[in-house]
Amino acid sequence: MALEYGPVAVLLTFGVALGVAAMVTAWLLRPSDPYAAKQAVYECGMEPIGPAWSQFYARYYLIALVFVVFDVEAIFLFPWAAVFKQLSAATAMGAVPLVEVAVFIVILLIGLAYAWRKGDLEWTR
Amino acid sequence: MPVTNLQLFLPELLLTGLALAVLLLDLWLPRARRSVLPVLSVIGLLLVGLAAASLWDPQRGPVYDFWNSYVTDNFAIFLKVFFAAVGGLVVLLSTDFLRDVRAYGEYWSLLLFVLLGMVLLAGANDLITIYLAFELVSLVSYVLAGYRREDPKSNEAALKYFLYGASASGVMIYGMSLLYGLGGSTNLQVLGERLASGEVTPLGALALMLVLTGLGYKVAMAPFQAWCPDVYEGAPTPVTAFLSVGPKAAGFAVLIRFALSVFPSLLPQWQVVVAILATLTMFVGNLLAIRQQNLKRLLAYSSIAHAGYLLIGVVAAGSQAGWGLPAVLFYLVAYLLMNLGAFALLLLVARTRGTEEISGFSGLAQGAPFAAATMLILLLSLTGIPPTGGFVGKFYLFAAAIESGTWWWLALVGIINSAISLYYYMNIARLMYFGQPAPELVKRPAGLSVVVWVALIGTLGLGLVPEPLMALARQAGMLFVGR
Amino acid sequence: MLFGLPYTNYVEYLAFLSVAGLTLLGGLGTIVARRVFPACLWLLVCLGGVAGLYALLAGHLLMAVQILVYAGAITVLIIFAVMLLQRHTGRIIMAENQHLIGGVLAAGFMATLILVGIFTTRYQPLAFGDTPATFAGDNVKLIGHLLLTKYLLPFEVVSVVLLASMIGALVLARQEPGENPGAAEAPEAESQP
Repeated sequence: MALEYGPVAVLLTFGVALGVAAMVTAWLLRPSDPYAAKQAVYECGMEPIGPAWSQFYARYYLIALVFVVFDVEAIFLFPWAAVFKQLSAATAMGAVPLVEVAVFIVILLIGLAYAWRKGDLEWTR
Repeated sequence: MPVTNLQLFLPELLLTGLALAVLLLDLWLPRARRSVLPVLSVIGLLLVGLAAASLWDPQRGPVYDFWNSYVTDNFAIFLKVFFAAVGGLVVLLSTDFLRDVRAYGEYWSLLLFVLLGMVLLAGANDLITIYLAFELVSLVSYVLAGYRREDPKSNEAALKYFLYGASASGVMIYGMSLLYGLGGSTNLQVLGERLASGEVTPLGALALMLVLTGLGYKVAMAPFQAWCPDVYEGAPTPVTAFLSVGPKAAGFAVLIRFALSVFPSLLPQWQVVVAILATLTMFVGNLLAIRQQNLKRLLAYSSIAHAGYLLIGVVAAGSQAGWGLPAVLFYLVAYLLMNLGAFALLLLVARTRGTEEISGFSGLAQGAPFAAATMLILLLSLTGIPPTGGFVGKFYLFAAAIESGTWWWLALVGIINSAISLYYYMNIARLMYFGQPAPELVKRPAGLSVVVWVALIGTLGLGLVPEPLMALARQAGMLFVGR
Repeated sequence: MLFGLPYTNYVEYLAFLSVAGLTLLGGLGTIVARRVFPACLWLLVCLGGVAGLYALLAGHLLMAVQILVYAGAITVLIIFAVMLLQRHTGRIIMAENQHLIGGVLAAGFMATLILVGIFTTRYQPLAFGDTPATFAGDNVKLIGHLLLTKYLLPFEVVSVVLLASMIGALVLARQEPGENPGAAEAPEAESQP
């Protein structure tokens, strides 16, 4: 069973090893000569201002909430899409799978309409 | 068996449609006309109740649908009508007191979604359906408990409810996963057959305990009741009234179906556990209620105690389903009426006097004799004194315990506890009739008056003529009698 | 032979041990970390470990869901919440582990119960579910088939649960115009009925 993941394991091992090797080699070869300007935080060449915990826009949060819900919805659609054609054709179900998933999507679309009408999707108010 | 008959699914479809309609209507209604939402909700719930009631057929056995993951039997139908009634009364309770709340429109649709979850729980016959419906009830209940976001106590209630509830759900789903591992199915009947065919396994017993723990949290069974007083105190009062009846009844519905369908093989074991916990629950609820000064907290502890009385019926149902189940169903109805009535009067008094303490009721008999007399009758019913529905309900519960033989001592415990509860219920009555006079109740919103009248007539009616409802409850309990 | 396992299962066993160890490590880190932000990152490790467990059980769809939804969306949401709170309160949230001994005892008791249950139970071989031959071996299609047939009702209920929880979350999280985000923490007089 696990042997199926052989290529994945090889990729993982090499990926990690490469990163570690680069760091270790650099650590072995570089001269140690720290001074103040070198140890300062590097950020696009500018002097960083303020703490790393920056101001956070509260509106992000609502968007993230809505995103999670539709993320989960998308996950549920994936297996449906994989099986839809076979299920409609092979069994006597006809359009039933389509109706089933339509109900699912419409109910969630109402949620989208709700968030939209209540202004939760607007960036500024 | 695939979807054979959507007609049996009519109450659920109606309720879903109603919830979505209310949600959408709120989006496009002008602000001034939004008071139509509760009216629509009540009318819709009435229709849902009628649709459920129209499915009632004393002759019909259980009908399994949706590939056996949903069952329509008289037990489920009884509870669906009950839940529609709970919803209607709570909407009436809420109309006047949430007028100024933020997110007014969403309140009604959220309430309807909880009700949908409860209705689904009544008929759920599959671990996954049970769990999802349970989460629908729980998640929305947390939100409702924290609906007054400007009130720190309401926030605390929501957070506590969420933390306890989430842990409980986690414990329950873990137990369910063990069950699936042992039985190889999520269907309750299949699980029951497969677990019964082999020997009683330690893991099976553990799974039962885990599921019982999760359900115990939800119905506030001791020793899992710690969240209950804080949540009930902090939540907006109409929501508290709802939480004390609705999700609790749904929890009992699952508990009964689960215990009797999946664990007939472990019957003696879980009966012992539930009997001990019932005793503990009754004592904890009643003894801690004595010291309470805040009426919402007092009613919270009293609701813990009442969960204990109901557990007597669950234990008895294990031995004598013909006695235990009808008693539980009857008591749920009686408790709905007397408890919601008490909450309605609490809302009235708190609005006039600006306090939720028991002292707010002081001298009520002089200022508002009718309200005081109604409260007295409801308190008598909560204690279990004739001629009220509470008395008849307790009578049936204790009778079920005695009929079951082994568990007769639970009736004794119940009677002792009723005596303890007499003290704190009658303390309120004493204050009303002998306390210092205080101003009368100025305003009586229509919704509240309706609830008070329904509670009064219902409580007295059940006390004087219990037989019609009891006959229905017996038919609802028929499902499990065959065992 | 090690732990009674044939040599061919060695790799799988090692893979399981490392993934399970990673999960445990992440879980421990989450509850031990003092500052809440590192705790979130530990949680990410734990959730990633669970994804690995799904992978070893050949639940490829579940693994994808675990990474996409839990390690992706949910963790991001938690981190958002942490950053929002730290801005409003102006301080770093520290975990205070109260009731440490009680917690360890309770967890130990629970673990003992579960372990005893697992090792003393005699298991019966069972046929799980009913796999249609057409989809055998294809996990995603099998799940799709089950969602549209046997678990149709739960599938539809999921959409209602998602809708209701989204509305609930938005109701609680939304700030009305002019509302002070810190207002909920301000002390208030007696609650209104």
